[in-house]
Amino acid sequence: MKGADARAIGSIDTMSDALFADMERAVEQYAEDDEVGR
Amino acid sequence: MLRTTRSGDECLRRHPDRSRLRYSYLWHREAGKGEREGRKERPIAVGVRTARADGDLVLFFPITTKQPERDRFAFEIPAIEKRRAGLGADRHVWIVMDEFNSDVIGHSFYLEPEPPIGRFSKAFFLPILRKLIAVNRSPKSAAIAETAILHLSPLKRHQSFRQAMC
Repeated sequence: MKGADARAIGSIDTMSDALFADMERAVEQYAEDDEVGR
Repeated sequence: MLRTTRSGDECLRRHPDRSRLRYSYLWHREAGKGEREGRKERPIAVGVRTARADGDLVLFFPITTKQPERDRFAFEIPAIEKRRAGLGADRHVWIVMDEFNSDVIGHSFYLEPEPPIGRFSKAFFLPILRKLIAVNRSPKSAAIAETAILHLSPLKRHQSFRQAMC
């Protein structure tokens, strides 16, 4: 059975605090990751 | 539309942050008019992926050959990054960072099980993501107003990045 469409449309002005916090963490981790092998 | 298959998931796991895929991106302005589907498949950058219990959430940022308006938070992609990303080198291309589509890996109607068609370098993409964070931390309207689209040469653009990051 097909589920609901999981896609959402967002903008920088409407980003939730929770999503922003997730994004911050992901960017920090990305910054720390080694470029080699990616 | 097909759901993402395991092979598509694996592609994203290997290249989680700066991959370029094709996606039926739905612009924020078009969604605001009630549209539910992207008008065409276009290149998008995989910006951020975060782990969720019911499937990882991914933010996609659109890539366009149409010059964004000057008040948009967008960056022209330099030639070397266009080559890395598999974009045509003969056209101006921008990545727009002030709007996004989010989707859930394993539950998407739009992600196709295809490998990424290119990747941006970290040297290019990380400063953009950091700038996005900085803009979002600031009072938004003021921060965006300060961030006009950069139409300078790649060298000058990177200099502007460094100045903006200081």
